[in-house]
Amino acid sequence: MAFRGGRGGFRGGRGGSSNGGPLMPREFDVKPDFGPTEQFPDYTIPFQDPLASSERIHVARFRDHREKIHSGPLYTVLSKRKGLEDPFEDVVTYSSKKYHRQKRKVPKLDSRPYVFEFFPVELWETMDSSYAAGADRSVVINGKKEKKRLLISSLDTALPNGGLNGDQSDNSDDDDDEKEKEKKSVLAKLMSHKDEDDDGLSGGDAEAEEDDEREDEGEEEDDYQDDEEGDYNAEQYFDDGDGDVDYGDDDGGGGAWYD
Amino acid sequence: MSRKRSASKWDVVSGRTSQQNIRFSSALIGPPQHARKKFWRAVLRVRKTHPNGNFDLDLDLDNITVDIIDATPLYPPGLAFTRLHGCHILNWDVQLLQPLLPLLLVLRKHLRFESRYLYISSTMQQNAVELCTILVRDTYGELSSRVVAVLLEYGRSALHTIVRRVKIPEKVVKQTLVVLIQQHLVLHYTHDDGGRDATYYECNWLQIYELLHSGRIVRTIEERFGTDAASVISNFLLLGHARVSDFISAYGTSTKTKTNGTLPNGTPISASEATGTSQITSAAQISKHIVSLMQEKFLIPVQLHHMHPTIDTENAIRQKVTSEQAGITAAMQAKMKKAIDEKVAEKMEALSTDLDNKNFGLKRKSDYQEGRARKRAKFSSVNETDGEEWEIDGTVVLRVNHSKFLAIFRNEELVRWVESRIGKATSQVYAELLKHIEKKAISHRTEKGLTDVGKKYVVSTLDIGTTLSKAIDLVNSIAFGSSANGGSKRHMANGSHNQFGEVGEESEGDSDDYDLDADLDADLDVSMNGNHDLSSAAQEKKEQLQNIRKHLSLLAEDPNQFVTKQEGSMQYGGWTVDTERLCRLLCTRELEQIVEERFGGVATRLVRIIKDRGKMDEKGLADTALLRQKDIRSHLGALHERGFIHIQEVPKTAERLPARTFYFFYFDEGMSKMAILNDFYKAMSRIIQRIDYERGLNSMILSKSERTDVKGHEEELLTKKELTDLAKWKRTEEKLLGQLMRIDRQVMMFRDW
Repeated sequence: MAFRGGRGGFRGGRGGSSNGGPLMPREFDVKPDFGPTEQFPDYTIPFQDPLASSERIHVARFRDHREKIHSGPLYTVLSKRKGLEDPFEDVVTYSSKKYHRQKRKVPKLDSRPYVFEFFPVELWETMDSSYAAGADRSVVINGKKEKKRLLISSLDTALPNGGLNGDQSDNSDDDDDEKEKEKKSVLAKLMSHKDEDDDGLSGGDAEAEEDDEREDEGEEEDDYQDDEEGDYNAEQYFDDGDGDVDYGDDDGGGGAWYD
Repeated sequence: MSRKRSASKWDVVSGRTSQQNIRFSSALIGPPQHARKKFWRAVLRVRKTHPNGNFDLDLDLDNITVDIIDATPLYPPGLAFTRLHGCHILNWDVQLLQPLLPLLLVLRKHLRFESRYLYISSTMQQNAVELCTILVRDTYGELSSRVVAVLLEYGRSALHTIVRRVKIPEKVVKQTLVVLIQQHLVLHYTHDDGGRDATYYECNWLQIYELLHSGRIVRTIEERFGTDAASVISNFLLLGHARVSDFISAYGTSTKTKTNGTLPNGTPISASEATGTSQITSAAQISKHIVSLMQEKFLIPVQLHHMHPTIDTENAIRQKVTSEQAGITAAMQAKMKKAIDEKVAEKMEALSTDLDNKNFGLKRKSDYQEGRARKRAKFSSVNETDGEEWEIDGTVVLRVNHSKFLAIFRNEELVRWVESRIGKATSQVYAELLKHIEKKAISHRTEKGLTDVGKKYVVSTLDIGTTLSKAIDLVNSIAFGSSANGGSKRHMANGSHNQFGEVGEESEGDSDDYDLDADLDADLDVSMNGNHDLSSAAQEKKEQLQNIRKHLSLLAEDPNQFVTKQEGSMQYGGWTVDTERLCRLLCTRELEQIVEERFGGVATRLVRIIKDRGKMDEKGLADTALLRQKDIRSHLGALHERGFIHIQEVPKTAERLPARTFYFFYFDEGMSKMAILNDFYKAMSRIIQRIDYERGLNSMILSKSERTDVKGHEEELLTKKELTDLAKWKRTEEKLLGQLMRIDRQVMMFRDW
């Protein structure tokens, strides 16, 4: 406690006035310029060297990878706060919203198998709703295992500009990229083709990942599935208030969810 | 942000008597008296040695809280006090933390704190926090980024704390945590906390940073193993970690689906949509790819301790080791401490050595179970031909090994350096050499950087010769005949004579290590004994090896000493690379370049002088630099302001008057690096934010092009203008991302290598 008194107090009093400590002894001849600074001081804008072909490929792969994550089950977009939606843009109409990529408010977890021992016990229930605390885990896992598949997406190996180091990235080229991109994300394509009617049809085949998603919705009565209903159900876009209903029991409160 | 942080600081200071604290202090009986004394001594020492000396510390041992009463005004925004489990966690800028570090270590040592009571988050900077948050938002969306932001800002937290701070329902937070843990972005640990388990979560920010490398990782594998392996890696990146059996069966299904052509609900998918994986047709093929990726350590098995913070693993081991020596009094324990420390270090080492085994996680194919002891690593092209095959243990869980890729990126950087210094052909030889080393050395990422002890591994010229592409023109890339080169040429000629003299004795010794050596030795023996009876192939080989050696000698003779020659160990010479030293040089070079670009040549000169001479005052500096004091002052000021050089004040009198004080400039590489890294992180965050902004500008066209009915049919469905806009946006984003990758290179240089 000895330090508390003298020095600390002194410093505290001085507050923010010390500006990096006195740099130069007093008698020095530096005369600070207190005049107004120039409004547009000379500034040489650094220019970027054109990207090398390898760099372009790295960037292309990075974008591709990010795109895959975005179209996968883990990417989330928080919806706008209730009442703040744009009445013109955010309203569902057939033409505008149907083909748009669906936005997830919460990550979709139950579409893949997990290695449970790598997760803390308190999250197991979240990962697999049929996992009840204290229940026999092996049964649950074996029971589920058949149905869950990892999501596998293929790789886009297109080179930007055909791998050449050129700067003529014209339209056609970029469109090629686009096409490639579309090819590779089968998943994204399929996911967004979903409409409500398909839900009932889900067979037990569990062939493809998107199949699982639907399937799980049908047979599991885990409550957090409700949140996702909104993603598929166009009706719910109108009363986007599921947040309030579902999360009412949490201390966080529905409103705070959005800020 | 800074406002928020400082608010949290005062919360903590005023919240010292909160319920939680009281509960905590009663749970932990006061620490022994001598610890208190030791701690105060440590405080005194830090106060004395700290150049700014502006802070006071007050430790209230009964409550185990550490308060900074008066933080120096130099670093206000970095301060964030976090409270965890009734104890305050210090989460500062490294610049401030650095002088405090010994103190905190003392605290931990003498008060026998466990990490959960006093926790030092290593080298996390404020700008890095921002970058990580933005990066996660960019990649995994807003929900994840919110949770990450809370974890980064407040440090290690329990679930309920996160929920309270992030203001998102618990259910959703849990789901997000699952995502983050699956991707290894968040670590967790469950303590036995007085009879009930308490799980804490902690952000693994270096792993978040690795999100930036995804593109480069995929590309690296693509270049080395082809597209199929790259797609395997890419999928592992997407999945975080996955059990091999699950992974393979998933691959199997996705290909099957494609051949079926339709989904159960009747939606047809054309084969063209399903390209990419279609090349991989069988599970066997995938597992072959996985095996080769595993053998080269691109994929590693995940072990339980990978999911825990290292410090917790260490603590758990320490606890176990200590409890093994039960019944020892406290005094004895202090004595035993060193022994325990050693044991703990040993066990920690053991955890990672599993991975060093080449075939860890693999099992030998059943027909090869002759019980041969662990296969010696052979990395030349012999690999396939030596007849052993490995298959994966299906239960193993795999993930991408990021530190391996860091090593590869580092090597690429070194090759680029060589190319700019010496030449293309030499750099290709160098790349080959580094590739050999990289296969042998297993890199671990530590706090100090990447350790793969490149020095230990000797690569022979022969090895390089066998794998080097024949297309490289080794001969014409070195100019002979000039007087300057004469010396080295003669030297090489001498060297080769010596080597030939040794062949006889050496060949037996080598053949164990390098099967190929034996073959070639035989070849060469023949070629030397049977005088003019040389087979042309052997002759060619010999010439190639000699040429390679010339290039390697060039590398060795460079002032930077890119390689070091190991005399006499192998025919045609063996070579090692001291990557650590090279990276230090690389770093220094980059640092000086940055200083030069920002502050000009004079500043660089000053920095180099200060670095060379140690602490210097302005006058001495001016004398050494042959410049007037007046001229260098502005440079010094600017350099100091940006954190490239630092000042120590030494008062002549007790009053510490500025006029009667020496100001010594000194250069601290660690702190300068930190300052630069901080700038880099900030620049990177700004780039990503800029991309977001640009995306906002183009949101109309982007959302249209992302529509599923438009995607793939842009040319038919979009107007001319929209197409040009789209192309323009893509170019913009590419440029910005390209810049991001360039900064990333420097960050890796300063931080990881």
